[in-house]
Amino acid sequence: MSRSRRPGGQRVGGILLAAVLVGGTNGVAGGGAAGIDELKHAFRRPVTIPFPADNAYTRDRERLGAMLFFDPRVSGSGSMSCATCHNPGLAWGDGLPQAVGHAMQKLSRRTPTILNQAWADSLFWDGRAGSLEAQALGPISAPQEMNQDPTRLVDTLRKLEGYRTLFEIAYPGEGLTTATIAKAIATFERTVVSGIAPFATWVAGDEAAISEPAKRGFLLFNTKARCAVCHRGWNFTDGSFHDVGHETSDLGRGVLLPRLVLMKHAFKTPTLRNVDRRAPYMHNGTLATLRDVVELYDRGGVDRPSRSREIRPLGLTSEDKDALLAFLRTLTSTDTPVTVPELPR
Amino acid sequence: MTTMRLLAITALLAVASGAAAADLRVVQRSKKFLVDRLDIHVGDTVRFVNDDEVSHNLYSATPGMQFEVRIQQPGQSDKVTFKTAGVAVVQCAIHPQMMLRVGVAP
Repeated sequence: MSRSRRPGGQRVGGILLAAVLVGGTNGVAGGGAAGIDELKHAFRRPVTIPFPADNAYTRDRERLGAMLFFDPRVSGSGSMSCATCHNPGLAWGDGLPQAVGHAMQKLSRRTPTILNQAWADSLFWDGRAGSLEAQALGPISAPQEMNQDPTRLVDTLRKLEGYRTLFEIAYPGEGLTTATIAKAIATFERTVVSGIAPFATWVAGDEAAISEPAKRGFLLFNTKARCAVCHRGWNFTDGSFHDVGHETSDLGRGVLLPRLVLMKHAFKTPTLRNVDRRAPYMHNGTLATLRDVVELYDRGGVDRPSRSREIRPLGLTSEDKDALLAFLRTLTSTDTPVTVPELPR
Repeated sequence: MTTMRLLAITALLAVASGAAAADLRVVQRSKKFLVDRLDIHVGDTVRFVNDDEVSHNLYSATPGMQFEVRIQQPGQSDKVTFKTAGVAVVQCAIHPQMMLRVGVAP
């Protein structure tokens, strides 16, 4: 299930996830069974979903946010919803190399998944938003994306009695505003969490949950292949920004920080959860398969001043690459279909 | 959080009881600053130490208090002298969750 929290299991600062998976914690990383246990520990599934103090979780906020997320009237044309690009049937992406926006405009970057973004410190490929609340209205109001005037959006929703009631229940006294629209969408997005993958079952102690090549791939991921330098933590990202040497003219985060050479062509490290369901890859969708991505990292990409100091040729063997791919496929969870909410008329 | 605050206070006490030239150290480790707040005076110098296993790239975009530190490989350190009063927000461009506020009193 993609939203695998326990209903009603609220806690201060977060809501409980359905499963608590705790790996071994003894030993030293880098070798032997004890080392594996410590590596597993770094990728444990968290107990709760974090929510900010000024937009705490309630079921009413989640329900309202889900409606807004799936409602095409949120867009200027009335024909695109957030889910048009962040499609739950496609691991909350669109499966396209580059997104398609208002009036079929082809955008320059791939639609990022919204899976597990409750743990993100910065949003968008270039990190220009510091919270989901700050991010939510960006694509809605961007002329080339959903092309909606925020004032018109508020007017549109206020005309619908159902929404007026739902906003008052979810955010009593705060009104139906651009701020509460963003807060509701952000609340829903935080509940979009990948489910239990074979990797998590292995971390929990079931040795038969993943194959021996996949286990070797996990070790390589953390050592020779250097993936875990950035793809670390339960969500397989540390939220960092790097030019990984991928061919592109897109300046990425360099537009925001033009004086810092390392930020030229730098993009956010994405989650690897359900990654084999999210092809094509990279910020511009120009790598068709996960094997292509592994090959890029093995080569070390384009050697240029902005290339991350963590990127270098790896010398992976064919067997190494197969093992890494076997491991990456264990990160995909079996999720139950998402129910699209009935919308106010 | 409390530990971080104590570390900052400890650093300040070291300055107060030390020589005239203030040389505070701020350590980066495990993709974090070991303190989240530092209070100093105009003219004080802070040494930013990369005691991590990855590179960092510190900068401040705070108006009137901008600076950039070179790309710091593990083990490298660099000094920054704060010449203007205010509160500078220091971040790592690579790891933006690393954030340090430096309060600079006149």
